[in-house]
Amino acid sequence: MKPLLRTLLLLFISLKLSAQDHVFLETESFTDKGGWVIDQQSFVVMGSSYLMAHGMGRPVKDATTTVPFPKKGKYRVWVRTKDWAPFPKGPGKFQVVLNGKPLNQVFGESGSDVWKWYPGGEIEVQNEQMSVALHDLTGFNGRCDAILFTNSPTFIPPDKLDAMTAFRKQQLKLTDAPTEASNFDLVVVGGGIAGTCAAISASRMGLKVALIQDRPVLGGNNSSEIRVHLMGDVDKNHYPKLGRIVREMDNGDPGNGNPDAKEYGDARKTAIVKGERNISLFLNTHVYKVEKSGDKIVAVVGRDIATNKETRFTGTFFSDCTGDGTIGELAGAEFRMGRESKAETGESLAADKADNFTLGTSNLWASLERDTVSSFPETPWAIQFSDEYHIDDSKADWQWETGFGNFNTITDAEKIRDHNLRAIFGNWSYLKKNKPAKYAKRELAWVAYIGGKRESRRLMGDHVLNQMDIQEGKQYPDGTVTATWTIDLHFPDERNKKYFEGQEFFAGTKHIKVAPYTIPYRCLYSKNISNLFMAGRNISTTHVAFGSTRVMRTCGMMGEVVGFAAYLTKKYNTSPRGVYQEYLPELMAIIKDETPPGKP
Amino acid sequence: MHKTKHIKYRLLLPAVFWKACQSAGILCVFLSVTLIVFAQTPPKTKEYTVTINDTTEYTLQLALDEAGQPLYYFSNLFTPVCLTGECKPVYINFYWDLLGNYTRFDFPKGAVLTRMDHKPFKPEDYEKLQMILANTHSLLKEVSMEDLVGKGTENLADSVDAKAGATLKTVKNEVIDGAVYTCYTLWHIAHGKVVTEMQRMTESFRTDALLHRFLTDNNHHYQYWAMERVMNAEGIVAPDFQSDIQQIIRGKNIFTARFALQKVNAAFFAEKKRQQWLWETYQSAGYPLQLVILKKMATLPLNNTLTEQAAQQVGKSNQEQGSLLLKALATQPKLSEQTLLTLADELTNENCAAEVCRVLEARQPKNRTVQKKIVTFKQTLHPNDK
Repeated sequence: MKPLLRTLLLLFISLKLSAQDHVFLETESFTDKGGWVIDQQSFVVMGSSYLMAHGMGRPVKDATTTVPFPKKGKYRVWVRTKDWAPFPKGPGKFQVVLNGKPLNQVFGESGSDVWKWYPGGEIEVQNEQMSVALHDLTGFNGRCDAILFTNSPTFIPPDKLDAMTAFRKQQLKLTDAPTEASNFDLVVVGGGIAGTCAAISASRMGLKVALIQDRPVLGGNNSSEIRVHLMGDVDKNHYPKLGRIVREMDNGDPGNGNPDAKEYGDARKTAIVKGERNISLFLNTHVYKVEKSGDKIVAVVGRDIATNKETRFTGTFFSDCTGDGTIGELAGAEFRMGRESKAETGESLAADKADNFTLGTSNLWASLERDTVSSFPETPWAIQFSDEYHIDDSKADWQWETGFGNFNTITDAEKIRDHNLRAIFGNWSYLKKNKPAKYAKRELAWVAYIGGKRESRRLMGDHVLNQMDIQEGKQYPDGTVTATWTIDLHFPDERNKKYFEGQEFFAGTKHIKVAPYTIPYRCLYSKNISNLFMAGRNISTTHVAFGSTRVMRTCGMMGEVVGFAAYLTKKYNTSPRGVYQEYLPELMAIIKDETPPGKP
Repeated sequence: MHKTKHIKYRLLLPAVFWKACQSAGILCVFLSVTLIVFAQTPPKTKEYTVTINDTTEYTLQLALDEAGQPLYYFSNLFTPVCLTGECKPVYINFYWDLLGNYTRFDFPKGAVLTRMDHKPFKPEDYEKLQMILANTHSLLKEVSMEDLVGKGTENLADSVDAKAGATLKTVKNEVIDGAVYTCYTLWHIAHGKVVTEMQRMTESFRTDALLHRFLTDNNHHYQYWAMERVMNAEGIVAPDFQSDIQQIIRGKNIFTARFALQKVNAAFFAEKKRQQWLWETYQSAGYPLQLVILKKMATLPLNNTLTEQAAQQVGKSNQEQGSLLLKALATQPKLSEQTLLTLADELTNENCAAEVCRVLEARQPKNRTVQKKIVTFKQTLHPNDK
């Protein structure tokens, strides 16, 4: 096309666009969320968070907000949603209520589990403002990503991810530069136990630290949102100094899925971090973009999971404590996901052939005995049980787990969580109806809507910890964190597999005991991104070794080591690798709580 | 818990045995013999002696109804539970179904269970015991008693050493604290060798009447056992039992229904009436069974009525159901003109048109209307359907 013609055409298109008025509403930004919750777990595949009505079978309170309109007149309404359990129709039904009047359509029961825009009909806008509410009809996880009002009768909002992301950015005006957070010595992404310990450790060594977490609470799998207890010992350490911060985080052992949220000490964890004057804490911030210069990360950009405001964090060093290895992946760090083969690693416990198998994700739950008998709705859309097979338990433990290679734990996170919910609700409905003697007065007290993920990417470092390192108890000169957990590789429970092949939601394991061993420091930094540390489940190990290193007290101690090493990178203006190559005695002296040796 | 009415017991346990048991040291658990006659009062009983090993024998009773039909098995057990040289006697009655699946326990009059510290069980302990014993898949199956409480004589607590590892921590939920040996011993009796003996005995009095009874029972163990006996390796069902199988397919246990459907031979659905019955079953079935039915349909030669009904359903179904319906149609050697016409109507349904078009084109339909609809669909092809 000739340049002039193209310019004219573009001009024409933009004129046409400007003639349209769009009012775009992200549901997670509603002023009052009512009983709806923000879910950001699928951000990587959707480019957004969304609101969900997680009422455990009881409709939740409306989410409400007020929207300004540029002009009065006729608008078409579009609602972006999905049917999360199309078997054949799901339960996630809700209505959109405008100025107190519901649209005719009921959303969330289309039979399609693809996120799409659904037409909601035409409305007449008579005022400059309108109240918008999401009205849940079932309490069974109806969800809504966004609502669009457009005065163009022909405009159809895009469904394809790239186009939708561009549209969203344009509507949210995210094309403008993000707010700058100040520059940090260390930017820790991920506020689980590993990330929180890394931030505290670095801060106490005098570094200026940003701690970025994509949820409103710290602690990750150990937070009240997921409720997994801390495992791995801190009392068998080669270097007793390690584990001190982990102990501060430790709120006692309430077990897995305790119905009492307070047992997991969210507030205490936040208070500890807020008490650190060198840490700037950024909660509710999902980092989705990395800026690089050469083999270094120079900045990361995060988006608030509620307001959608963006913030840019520049730093000298970064630590990927996301669990998913998100930062590493965005930066092009070498990583592995799934199982290596025996031929590749020489491990007796490795798979015969490399594959995508991972450990699964748990959505824990618990019920409580009440004074009166209660009922629970029928759940034909859920997994079906019978006297022959059901799980006769009043609460979950670690075995409630989905995603053994049949789902990708990152890109299918929503499906995995939803599969867990279908197992939980289907089983609970069965128990309530068929085992009244035991369950008539029991009521679901809590069901996690945030998945407790065990495995995803493993970022590769200068050393890749393997089964032999663990079982032979190799003590490398840079052996730091002491790990004690068994090699604990889950697989689908045999009976569950028999009944639900390919759809398993219950796990088994074999614990292979290990003597306490140390994890080399070289597993805690990326081999090809020169200023990237990592701590947590995404460190440099094989799948087999990960089976032992993945527990949270162990992960927390990795964070502590990262904090110490980051201090040395700053002190000597070197890289994480430089610390290993040139300043290892000093790192080890810090870990041993000894006076550091003189400057080399 | 149901208390027994007439109890007599005759211990066949020589004193020397008891003594040996007491002095046998750590982890000595002897299952010794027992016997109680007429623990309950079923109309009739039949007595069997089951030898487990040189030192263990059970007297197993088969309860029968008035007509002499077998009802269940039971045994009035006596077993010492021993830990580090100290033994205590346990008197308990166990009940199993006719295939040796443990169902419940009760006690001879006056008998109770105690913890290692001699405190009697509380009501909730009995409830938990029932839960433990009823769990066929208990982790107790896998572990040894030594694993449970740790080696050495110093540990007299009879509690699981939870620190020993996560598996044991999980086992802890499956035993009663302070009565681990009791749980372990009783579980292994309830699910031990005696089970195969009961199965063997039941096999010996199998009749058609018993098979009918089993197939229509709510006990899925009975249903599977009987299904394996009324169907041959090819899934051909003996004529007298076909209606029992139909009842299972429409029953409320999705797993027995699935098993029956997957196993029955295509000949089962050869008749038109049976095909209609299958379609009616599809319409009233829950979603998971619907998928099983659709997969079965792809292995059956379907009559025209059914293919037409299936074709009508394509556009009303969700994607998975729609695909399976089309697959069932695609596998038919021949489709009626009416079926093709019905399918052609779905060429305007954007949810399934592309797949419908593929199925129709493979048939090279001669019908003008169908041909025209295919052409129209292709001309207005949505980019997503390319």
